[in-house]
Amino acid sequence: MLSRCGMGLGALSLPGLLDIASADTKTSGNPLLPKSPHFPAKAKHVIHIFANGGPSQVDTWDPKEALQKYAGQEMPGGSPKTERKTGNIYPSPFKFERYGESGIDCSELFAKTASAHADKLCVIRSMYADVPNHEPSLLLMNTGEARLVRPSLGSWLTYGLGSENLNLPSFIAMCPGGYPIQESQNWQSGFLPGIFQGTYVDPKKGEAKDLIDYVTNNRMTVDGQRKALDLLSMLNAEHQKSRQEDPLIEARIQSMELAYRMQSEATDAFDTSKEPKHILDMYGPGVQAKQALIARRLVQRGVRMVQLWHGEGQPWDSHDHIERDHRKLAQESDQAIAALLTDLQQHGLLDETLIIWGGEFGRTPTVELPKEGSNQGTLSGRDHNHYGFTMWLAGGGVKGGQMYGATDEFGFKAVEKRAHVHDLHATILQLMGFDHTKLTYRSAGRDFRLTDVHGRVIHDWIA
Amino acid sequence: MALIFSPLRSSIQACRRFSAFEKLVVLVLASLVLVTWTATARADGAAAADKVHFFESKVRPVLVQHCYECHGADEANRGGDFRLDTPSSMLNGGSQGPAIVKGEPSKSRLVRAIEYDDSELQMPPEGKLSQEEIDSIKQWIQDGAEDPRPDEPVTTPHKSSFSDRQSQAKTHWAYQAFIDAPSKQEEVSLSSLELSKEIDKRVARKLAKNNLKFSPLANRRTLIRRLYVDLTGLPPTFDQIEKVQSDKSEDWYERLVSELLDSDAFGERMARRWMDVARYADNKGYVFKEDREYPYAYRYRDWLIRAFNTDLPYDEFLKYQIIADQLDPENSKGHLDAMGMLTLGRRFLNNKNDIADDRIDVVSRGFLGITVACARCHDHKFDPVSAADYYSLRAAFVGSDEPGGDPSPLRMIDKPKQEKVFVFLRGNQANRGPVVDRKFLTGILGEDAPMMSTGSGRFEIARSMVEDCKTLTARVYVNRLWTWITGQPIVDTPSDFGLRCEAPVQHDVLDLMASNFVRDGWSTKKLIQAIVLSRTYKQQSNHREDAYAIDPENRYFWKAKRRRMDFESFRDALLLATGTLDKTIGGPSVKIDSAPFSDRRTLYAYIDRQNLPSLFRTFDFASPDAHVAQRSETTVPQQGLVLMNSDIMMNLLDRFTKTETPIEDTAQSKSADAVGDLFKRILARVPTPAERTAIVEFCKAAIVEIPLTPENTWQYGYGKLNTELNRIEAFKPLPRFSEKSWMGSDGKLPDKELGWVSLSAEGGHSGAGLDRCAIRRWVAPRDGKVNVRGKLEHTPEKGDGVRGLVIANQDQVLGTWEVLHSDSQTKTKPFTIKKGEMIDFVIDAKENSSHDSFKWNCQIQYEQDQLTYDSSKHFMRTVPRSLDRWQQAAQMLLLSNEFCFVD
Repeated sequence: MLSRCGMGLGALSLPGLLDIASADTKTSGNPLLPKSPHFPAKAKHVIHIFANGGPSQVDTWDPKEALQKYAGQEMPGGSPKTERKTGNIYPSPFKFERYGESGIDCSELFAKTASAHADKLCVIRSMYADVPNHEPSLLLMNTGEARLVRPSLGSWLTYGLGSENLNLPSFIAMCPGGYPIQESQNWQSGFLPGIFQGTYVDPKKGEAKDLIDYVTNNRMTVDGQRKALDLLSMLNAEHQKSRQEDPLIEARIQSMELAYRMQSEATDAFDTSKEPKHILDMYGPGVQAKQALIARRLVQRGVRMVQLWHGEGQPWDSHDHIERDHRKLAQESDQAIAALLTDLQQHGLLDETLIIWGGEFGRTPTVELPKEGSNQGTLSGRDHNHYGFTMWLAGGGVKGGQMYGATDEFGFKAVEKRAHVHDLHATILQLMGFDHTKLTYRSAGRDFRLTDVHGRVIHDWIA
Repeated sequence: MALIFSPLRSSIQACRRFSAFEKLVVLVLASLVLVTWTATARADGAAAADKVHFFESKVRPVLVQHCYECHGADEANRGGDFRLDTPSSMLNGGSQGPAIVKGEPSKSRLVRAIEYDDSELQMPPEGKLSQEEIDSIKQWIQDGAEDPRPDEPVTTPHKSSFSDRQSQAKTHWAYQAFIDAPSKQEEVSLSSLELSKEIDKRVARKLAKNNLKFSPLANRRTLIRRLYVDLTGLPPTFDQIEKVQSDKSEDWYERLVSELLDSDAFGERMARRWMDVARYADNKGYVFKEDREYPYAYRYRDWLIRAFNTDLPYDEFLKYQIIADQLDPENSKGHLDAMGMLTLGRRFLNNKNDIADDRIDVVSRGFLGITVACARCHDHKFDPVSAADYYSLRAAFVGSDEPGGDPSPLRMIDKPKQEKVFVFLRGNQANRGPVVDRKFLTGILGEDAPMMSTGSGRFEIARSMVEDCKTLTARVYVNRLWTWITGQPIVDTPSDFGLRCEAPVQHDVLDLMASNFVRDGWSTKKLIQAIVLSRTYKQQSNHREDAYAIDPENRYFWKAKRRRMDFESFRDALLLATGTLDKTIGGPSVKIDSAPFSDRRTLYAYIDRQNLPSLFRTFDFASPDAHVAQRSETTVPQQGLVLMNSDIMMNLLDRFTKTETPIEDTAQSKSADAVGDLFKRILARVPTPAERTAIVEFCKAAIVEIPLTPENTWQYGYGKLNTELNRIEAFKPLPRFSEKSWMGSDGKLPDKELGWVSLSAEGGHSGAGLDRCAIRRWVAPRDGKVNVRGKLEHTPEKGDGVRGLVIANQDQVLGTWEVLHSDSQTKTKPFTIKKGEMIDFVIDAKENSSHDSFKWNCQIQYEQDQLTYDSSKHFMRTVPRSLDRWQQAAQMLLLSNEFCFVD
């Protein structure tokens, strides 16, 4: 059972980290015990920074001179159909520069991230999705399926790999202030067992111990609880005497002890006040900083996947006032993202952690036209755009310092080396040690996979 | 996989080899042509060779490099039904029509795709071809698309393999007549007792063959508890066990079985089981801004309870859930709510195809163990289900309306006019395939498949399931019953009896029960009775090394299965142990995971399909998103956390003290009795002497009081305000919480002593005079700079209004505001505070203290991390008290394995 798993080995840096080799999922009944992937993995953890709402590629990572040149003119050939009506070409209000030895293009919005880490980034400028609407695109990005109920990437990863730390949830989705659009379906476990579902945490809420459900007891002290659990052990031992060789009984005894330890460790993991001042300063103020720092603390403790959503609803959805709003949003997150990458590197975690940045789609290079009820009287934003957008990868196994693929002259459609969301998923699974066609789960008579019948691994992204 | 893959790959390689050879021939021919071209009329053959050369040098390499991977012979990798590796497949095209039109590049779909002008159709997906490559392909089509490649027959593998599977279906065990049915008694059904003996005979026969034998019979106490939980979902109380223990009659067991089958709790237990099958929930899932509630979902749940309690024959039970609109159209027999089975699924943003798909799935897997939904995009890959079968079923659901309102908001009716039924190729609505005859499950029923010609065709679905598919329907349900009662399925995939499901070890037992079930009028109760009367059911659940060595998975049933109570039973048992279980049957759903906590049985819990609370998921609750064949069973520390720390648990433990005499207050002998009572209530038995001593010793120790917690930063009190110095001179907590507010000790307003002074989540009322100001106090949990914000509002239309003050550390006034029938923002300058220091929100009634109710939402936010303490959001109805030792002991008994496992 778990006692054989080498819990709390002195050789490991943090309590709760498991000795992977000796874990035994079947008899313990805990499906989160660590498992080996199909082949040696390049990354062990994922941090997905989700700029929900759809950040504009032509204002961040994909500069287009043509937008200045043809500013205010009609798109040659007209604009492809997006969610709402858009008008003429709308130039980016942001300044671009090239960063790093590899000369990665980036606007002033993410200058801190780019100047510190350009050569680590694989900037994919040729992403595309299927439709220009939030709901299906969010589900596609998270679960590989736009409408039906399917497990999310984090659920698949924890199903396939288990967790390295049983004292913490293995998949955590943080979103300040409330849920994004489509709510907890974004981190759903679908037909996988419920324990693989992402644990939602609102980093805006309360203190460390308020963040995870049921992790603290405000009615008894920890010492008092220990004494009570000792009484429980005695009762359980008596019960077990005449029920030998029942792994489920043993597992439940162990799970209570795990729960006891989880209380202090989970609270500790979320407590950023324990960080030294220079680290807190590096991340800066605000909730984006807080959740990025928590992400590092979680990954350090063996959590498999952490999602950092920018905020409730769809903050990056700048249908109007894109200059003001994108600037504000980037200001909230740029320093935190740069700090996260630096911090992970300093802790030796960057090599084993895959960082993903992006939204569910991008935005149009053309300006959104006013409509009754929305952005009335302004011509200052961009509509959704699934034809082409930018995401970037960094960290574990990623070939950094490259700009992969390209959109057309105006940044509307991905045209060179196009990469669908399914391809991104296939490649993420590859980095995590899985053949995406073979990580399957049988449900309702079918062997389901994250990529369904699609997806191809893009080896150019892999170091 | 490898077997399928390699020959295809070698055929591609063969093509490539062929092309090299062919190129050589072509080159020779072409040079000959060039020599003679000017002199003679162009020979047809030579011209063709020219074109072949063009194809081979300019077109074929492009196709091979960019297209074959997804549009080649390899079915597994193919991205669609369309191939580009043979001439005929290019000409005939895929589901979207021909790819090329000879001589007309502009009409050729292939050209449209590679030119990348149409955002919906762009190939190859990894990026546009070079202009030269595109021009070459256009040129080649313009010139007539000469194509020398071998034209292997365009196979339609799905179609041919569908017929293969159709013939396999003719011998697949699950689709055959019952085996080994007692033929002489075909018309006579066995009694439950006879059936149970027959079950045992068959089990025993197989045990003996494998050198196994039954485990000894479980003792009476174990059997009582097992029966109670299996049949009612509730463990027996101490008194209930005692009563049966003292029953001296021979047939105590049989009588107990009958009693439990007749209890109302039986229907509740079975209803919840079926709700897993029916993917029950109280809302629609994500539907954007539309109202997502199903306010009447509970009527389906209540119908299920009635159906099981009245032992509605299963064939009727099935039919009502699909065609109650035709059987009881006016709801005169109360059966119309049964249609919730169909109408209570996820709504997928109201996409009608997905809604229909969900219904096809719940019906086909739920009743028949067939995974029909797999055939949405193509014929089923493993089972005899064609896409046409799927779309016939789809027609039944898109051909029905949901009128809502009376006589039942859950009903569905046939649309007056039915539309033609098409297959949607690859599941794509825009991509219509052939019209299909609407027939029910042609792959399985073959020639006998009935036409679905009555209205939407739901009528034939229901009828055929209990007639044509009778044996399958019965097997699937009987396997479910067996699994629910014994914890161990006969067929391991309870909702997939398809071709990949091998005949189970206990095939004969399953068929025996299923055949008798059908003959016996589809009676659920009688079958369950037979199961629990069997020797097989009544054996012990303990491990036996010898048997385990032979049959580790217990396929031969050499022991009973020990089980952990499921979520519902466990929570019900907690309520039962605290003596607070509310046994009311039926009615609207109640939220169980937040205060005020409900005492209803767990099957009445409100099920939020969109955001199922972690409480449910943690305890392996069935996902309400789709039909669940079997719940997963996990043991994770999160379960322990709920039991150790949750408000739900604390709420239960609080009720313990109300009825228990605290142990410290009693003499030694009495306290021992109290321990005895505690064991009786929770574990339904008396404690052993060692357990008695352990509890007594445990309770002797003094508790350590809990420290002030951050949740507890708000305090509710009143006190004296010195208006000259603007200083708080006394603060006393309000002693009692009642209804929504903290107030004087009477528990009603006005209080004899304190008058109207009170504080609620939103605001409160000030008392008369300056020594009864309402004071909401916040105690800083840590150092930091804070911003204080809020909105003060005087709501009554009369009176002289109130004055609000924010005072730090009793004498530093941060702000004052007066409101009279008005409101005001109460924002102060940033303030640096130390841990343990306080900020008071004081209301001064001014001259006149009547009509002085106010609203004041107060917020304190730390600048550093934006953490906010909100007087409304963090309002506390109780002041957390430490659990006393007695409560802690009770909690440990509730956490014990003895409490949650059923032997």
